[in-house]
Amino acid sequence: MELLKTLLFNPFEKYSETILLVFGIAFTVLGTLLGFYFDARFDGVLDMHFVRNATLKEVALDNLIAIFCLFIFLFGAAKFINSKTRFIDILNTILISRIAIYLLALSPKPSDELTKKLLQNDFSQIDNFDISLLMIGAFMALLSLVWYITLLFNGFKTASNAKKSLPIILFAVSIILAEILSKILISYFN
Amino acid sequence: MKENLPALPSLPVSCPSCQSALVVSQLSCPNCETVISGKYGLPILLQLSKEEQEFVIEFFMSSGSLKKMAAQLGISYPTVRNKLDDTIEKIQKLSKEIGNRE
Repeated sequence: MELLKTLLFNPFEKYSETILLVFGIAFTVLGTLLGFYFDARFDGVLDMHFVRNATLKEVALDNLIAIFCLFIFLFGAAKFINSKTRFIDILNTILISRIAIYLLALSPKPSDELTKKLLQNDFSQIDNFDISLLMIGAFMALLSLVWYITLLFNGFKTASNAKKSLPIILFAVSIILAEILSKILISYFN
Repeated sequence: MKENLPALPSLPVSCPSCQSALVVSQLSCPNCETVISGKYGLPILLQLSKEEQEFVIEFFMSSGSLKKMAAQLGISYPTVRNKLDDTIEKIQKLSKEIGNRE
């Protein structure tokens, strides 16, 4: 049970950087392919949006930009907290944490018809099946986001030996700045 | 054959009432029952918790290689480094306290 808890919420505490890097790269490739296959774009540090036709280049570039932006700010914050923080530990934290976001590509995708009804605020025409799918999707999104942030924070904490409240503030600010920068870069390059 | 001696209780390093560092006030020889009384401060290493002492020994036995320690303990490199940093911080604090008392 303890091992499962570590594996799910803080693998950075137990597993070597090589194992984490191999799994991190493998899941980044797998997540990109999932996004391409299910028309899901990870267009931001905290984002996943279903689109009509996602190209592999779009999904891969979105993902790389998100990873890059997270790395810049989290590594900066971690180095500020502890100068001994290693590049590889922050990179692994990001690569592994994003597994939670890739899983969102598997959440139920609303049909074009349902999207149209929702955009028109026409809720009376939505049947129970669609409402159930929407609720499952919303629940999955919430769980994934919580899991993603938990993994990111635990990895950040392990990499920088962060204690007390300042690291929490720095972490939150880094995530917000990374989200803003990723949105700007994605809209510019992609 | 080795004689089976009862396990000694672990050494308390801080006062259960006020958490201040304890000192040795009596030492005895189990062979001839000589008893020495006095007031002797505990060495810094003994003032660490059992887990920290084991960590320091492990560090020594692996010639200070954190990578080797991580592999031996089955934990990641940053976890070992964090434990080491925390232990160093504690030793520095204890040294300072001892310095203030002297």
